[in-house]
Amino acid sequence: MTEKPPVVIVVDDDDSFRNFLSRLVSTIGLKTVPFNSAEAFLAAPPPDCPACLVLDVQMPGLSGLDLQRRLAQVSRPLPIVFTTGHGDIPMTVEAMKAGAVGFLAKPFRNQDMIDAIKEGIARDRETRKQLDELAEIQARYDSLTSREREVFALVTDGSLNKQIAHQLGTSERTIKAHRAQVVQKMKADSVADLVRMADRLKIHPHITQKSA
Amino acid sequence: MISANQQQAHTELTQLRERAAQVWSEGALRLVFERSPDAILLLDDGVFIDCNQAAVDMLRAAGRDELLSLSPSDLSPAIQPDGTSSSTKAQQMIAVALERGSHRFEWLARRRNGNEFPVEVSLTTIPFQERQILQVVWRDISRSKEAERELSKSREAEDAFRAGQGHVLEMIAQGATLSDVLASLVTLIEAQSEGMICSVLQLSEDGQHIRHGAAPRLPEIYVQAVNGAPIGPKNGSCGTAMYRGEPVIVTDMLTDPLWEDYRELAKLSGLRACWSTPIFTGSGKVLGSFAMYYRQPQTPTGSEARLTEVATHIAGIAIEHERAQNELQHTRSELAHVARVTTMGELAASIAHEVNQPLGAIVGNADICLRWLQEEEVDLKQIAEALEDIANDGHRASQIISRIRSLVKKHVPEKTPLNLSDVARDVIGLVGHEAQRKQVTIYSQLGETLPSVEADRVQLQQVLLNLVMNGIEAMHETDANQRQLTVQTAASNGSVLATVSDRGMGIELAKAEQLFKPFHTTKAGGMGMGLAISRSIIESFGGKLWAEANAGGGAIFLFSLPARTQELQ
Repeated sequence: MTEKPPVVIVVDDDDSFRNFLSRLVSTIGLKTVPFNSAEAFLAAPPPDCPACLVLDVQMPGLSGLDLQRRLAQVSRPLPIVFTTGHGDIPMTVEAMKAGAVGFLAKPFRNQDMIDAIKEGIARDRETRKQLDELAEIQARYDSLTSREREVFALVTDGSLNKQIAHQLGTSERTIKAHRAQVVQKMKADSVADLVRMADRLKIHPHITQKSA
Repeated sequence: MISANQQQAHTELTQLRERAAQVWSEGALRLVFERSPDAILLLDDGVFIDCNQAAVDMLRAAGRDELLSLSPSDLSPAIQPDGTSSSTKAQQMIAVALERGSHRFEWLARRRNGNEFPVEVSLTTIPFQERQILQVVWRDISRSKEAERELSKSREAEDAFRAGQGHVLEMIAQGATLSDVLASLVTLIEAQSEGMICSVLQLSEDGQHIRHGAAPRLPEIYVQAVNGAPIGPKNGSCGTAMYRGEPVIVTDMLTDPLWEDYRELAKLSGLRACWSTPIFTGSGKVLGSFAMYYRQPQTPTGSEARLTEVATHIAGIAIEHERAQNELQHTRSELAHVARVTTMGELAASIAHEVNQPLGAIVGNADICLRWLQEEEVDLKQIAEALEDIANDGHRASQIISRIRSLVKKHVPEKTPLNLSDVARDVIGLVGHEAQRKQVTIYSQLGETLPSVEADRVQLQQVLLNLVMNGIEAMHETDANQRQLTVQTAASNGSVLATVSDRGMGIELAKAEQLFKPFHTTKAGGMGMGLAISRSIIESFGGKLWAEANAGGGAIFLFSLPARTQELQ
């Protein structure tokens, strides 16, 4: 499946600055999705492609930093490049600590903005990849029976077949059969692989996900 | 026992009596009557029965016979000065004399030639054969009446002069213009002496040149020529007087050596004598000069000294008052300027932000254009669009700067008609970003059809800016989503009212007046002049500035300015 082309989401209440940013983004062959306020951006659906936000910290209504806080709570927080007409150090530190890709004071060197956007898009690509993978693993897990899930949890916890058999009150042979199913369904290459998947799914012998 | 001295005195007295009896017996009594220098007549039952020569002379009668042929009413006008008829008054006076034995009173008499003149009348009763004859003595008091009149006139003139001086001083206190004050002073002094023409001149700030003060009766062409002329040791009367710091008397401008270089100027004046006295400050610095001019060559007699003293005294007060007012105005202006600059300093972050928006776009767009120009295929249309954006942003930046500059530069106030809603919009535009920064929402309710007010734009902006910034500051501790600042303008009863309300910490109304005092501040680095200056600005335009409590918490600051009267009709 070919990847969808990335976009740059520009949120700035200053019309001429927004137009300039769109022009800049187009010079690196990308499309811009402009908004004139944080509220307008939040009202729109999230982008279904790799994206990066370019955001002014000081806008009327919801400020850029407020938006950053809000976005941090979702599963796919978009990477943010902040711009400012007049920044001070505490603001910069706060933004960077909260995970911003960059913080540029207007006027800035175009190359700096381009580099930051590229990094932001790369980060988002990675995030999306991670999320896709997780979804895939989750789907595989969802196909396990409840018994298989129990076995999965205990195997990835390091228990031997014998111990699992004892714990679950069945034979070792049955356990081996379940185990083979789990490996197949989870498409694991090795036990280590299985363990990694269990970590991703946050599976623990005492915290098995209930079956749907 | 009587002494030898007493005996001697008694003898002398007896001898005197005998001599007198002898004189009287020889008809001397008659001569006493005849020769008396006072006019004496004898009135018997309403008829003059005898008179002396002095009476004949006083009344300019042809002779005694003629006089005695007249009735008393022929010797007086029909009506006395107090309005009563002569005959009535005569009866009254006679009645009094008959009752008291004598009566003295003033009377208006009439000579035979019709000439009326004041006399003092003495009536004395002389009993004769069961009736009373009246001795009528008349003394001509024309001269003393004249003197009385002169004195009265002189007192009136003196009172008028004093009142005139009071009036001029009142003009100074009420803030009349210096030229009006000096013109009134000159006119007052001129009125005290016939044929005298006066002028008041000022010395320029640099102490080198003459500046016109007031000279309503000097020819315009002369006045223009004198204005700006240098002072010096041989510079006419006033120029020399100011230079020397001493009075200068020129009897004839056309021949005096002091006017040698200014003979043509002297001729322009149309006058000959010119006496000039310098006007000094309390500390002896020359402020100007007061001059007296006459049409004929003339030397002072000394009677002018008092007038000169009064003139230079009052002119000095007027000029010094004007200078003090100017300095006060200048200082107020400087102070207001400092306050504006300080406020601009407080807005520095906002200003930087606002200017960096267009600047950032300009720099960025220009950089893009440069890159595009380096490519193989150049899309001129796109470059043109980018350049147009650059130009627009350049203008935007320059407008922001000039808006700020107009507030920051030194400014001489001038009154023009203003719409308060427009001024409010200017200020809201200026602080827009700052309010955002502090998360304050500004609500405006600005009247659409306000009558205009007469005031200075920059100063009114300063006042509104001060109130709005204070309001924003007051909400520092308020919940971010409660920070509301409301600006309203409305017409009200012949005035225009502006209101700035906040939801901040509020004010104690009882202590509200303190806020307007200089140096009152709650800010760590604050000067505390903002409200004091704002109030003095509003008051200088005839308005009022005050504070009220906000019912929902916070404070309200209001000012009113009188609406321009033409528009009220």
